[in-house]
Amino acid sequence: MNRGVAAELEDVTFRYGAHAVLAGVSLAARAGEMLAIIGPNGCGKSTALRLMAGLLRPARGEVRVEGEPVARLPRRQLARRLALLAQSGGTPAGMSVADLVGMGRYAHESWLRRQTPDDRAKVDAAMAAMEITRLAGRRLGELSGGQLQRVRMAMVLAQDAPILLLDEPTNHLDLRHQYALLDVARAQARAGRCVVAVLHDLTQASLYADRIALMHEGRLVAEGAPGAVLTTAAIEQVYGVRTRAIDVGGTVVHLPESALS
Amino acid sequence: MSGTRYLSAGAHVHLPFALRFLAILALLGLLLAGAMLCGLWLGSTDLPLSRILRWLLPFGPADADTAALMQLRLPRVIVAVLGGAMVAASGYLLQVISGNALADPGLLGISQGTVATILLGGVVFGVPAAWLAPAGLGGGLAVGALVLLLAARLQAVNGLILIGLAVSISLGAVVEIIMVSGGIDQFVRYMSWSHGTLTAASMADAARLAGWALVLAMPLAAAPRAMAPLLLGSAQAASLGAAPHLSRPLLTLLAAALVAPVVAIAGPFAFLGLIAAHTARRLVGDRPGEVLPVTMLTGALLLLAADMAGRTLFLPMVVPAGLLVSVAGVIGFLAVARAVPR
Repeated sequence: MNRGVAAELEDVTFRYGAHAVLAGVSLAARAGEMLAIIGPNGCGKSTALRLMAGLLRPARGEVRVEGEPVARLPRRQLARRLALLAQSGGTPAGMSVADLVGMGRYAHESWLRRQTPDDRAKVDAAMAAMEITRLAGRRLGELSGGQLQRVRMAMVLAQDAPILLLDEPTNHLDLRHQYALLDVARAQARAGRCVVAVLHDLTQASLYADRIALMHEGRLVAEGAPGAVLTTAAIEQVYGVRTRAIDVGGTVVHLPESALS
Repeated sequence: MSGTRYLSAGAHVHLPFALRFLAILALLGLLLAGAMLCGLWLGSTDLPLSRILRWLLPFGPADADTAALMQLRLPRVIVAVLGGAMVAASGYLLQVISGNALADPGLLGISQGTVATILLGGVVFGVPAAWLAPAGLGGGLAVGALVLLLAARLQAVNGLILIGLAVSISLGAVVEIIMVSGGIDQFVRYMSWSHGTLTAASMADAARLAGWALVLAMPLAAAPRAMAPLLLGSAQAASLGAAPHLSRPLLTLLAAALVAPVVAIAGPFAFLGLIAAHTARRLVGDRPGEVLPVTMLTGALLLLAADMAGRTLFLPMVVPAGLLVSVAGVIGFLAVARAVPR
């Protein structure tokens, strides 16, 4: 195991029936970094994240969390090491915001041991970080899509796990809250956590990720610093879109040629 | 009743979640106690309420007439309360397990599976009465599992209800074949049972149901903690530290175990679980630890009210409680939906 590797896929293949969604992917995410997984629809990036979370079992290869095979960790123990913001999920309309964020502490409680002051402090901090403290008493059914996504992110933060897996976390958010959420995610990485986010927006990935993993048709095409991975050639190969690279204060952003002409 | 004010003035008073739950629990408890007293009091033989109250006192002098009448009415009230609570709890469990607000032991085929197994066992294979509930449990569980599995393969939310209906209708045909294959006496006896009725409830039935309720009380008390994460979907539940692949089948077993003894004793009560759980969620929100007890109280109240209405309103005709549950349930649901602010 490399020092500092928090979550890794080693030569992982995953199939739905006969169709290989992931073919021999090796990918390691380290503590203290923000890793963005990007690629076109259906390239297997969400599957890679779900494998890391132990929600899917690989047909071949191994998934490790903090050096231990994920298959051997009970869900409760895994939940203390790794938190996932799923892409979609049920939202019980009658549940309060505070209750949902409190669900983040599920793995720390038991039948007998309910929420402690420490649990409540973590819930409060998570709500403050996502700027939803004033929504605490509201019911989920009363929230907008963007508010709901921030509440779900707060729940994941309240889990207080060293590894955060975020599946398209900026979905449903307006511009301000997209960047606010990414700021929080990066701050988590700076605080020593391992953050892995599936993102669609290449600019956001360049701005926020320490490293980018570019996937295409179930394979890892490139991995490394944003500037090295997101080249005009790679984007055209993977997305089939010709772009022009523009340097904005040290960050390279790609704009589609078709829109510029 | 002081609790009523919370409901009628609710448009102006915003109660904190916990307080609201306790207020509703107290109100429903009072209503149920009142309804139980009415259940003992109302009937074709008139009896002064004072004599029933005296009979209820632990060491009071009881007259023989009252005692004899209570031997008939008490088991009926007990079966209505326990049975209503158990079927309602089952409905709420199934709604959470399937992630489908329309789930109900009747709609998932669990009730019909239990009915068919009990009829097959009792009529065709001559299984003794005491073994009918466990046999029915097996049948109900098998059908429920089959429906859930088929629906999972379809991967459509409404697929669950369609498959449940299809299986229920097929089993209904089996039930009718068995019923018409015997004599007219058997047909009449099973006809009212297959619609859900408390007419034949005996003290032995009440004791048997209470035994089941006692056994299931512990797992039921533990259920809400397992249910809460399921509300967020499998992936999110698992990553929060829950084990949906274990808790779903166990909770399904519990849901079937809650329904089977009730069906064995009184027949199926369609829509009771659906309506009770919806009413409860309207009242207290979505915390399983609060919805479950409120659902059970609501279910008990509904079945008791339906039975009382069935045996008093249309005399000399006695309408099976099962038929009235749907009517009473819909009226209650509408009343609650209007009275309680969101």
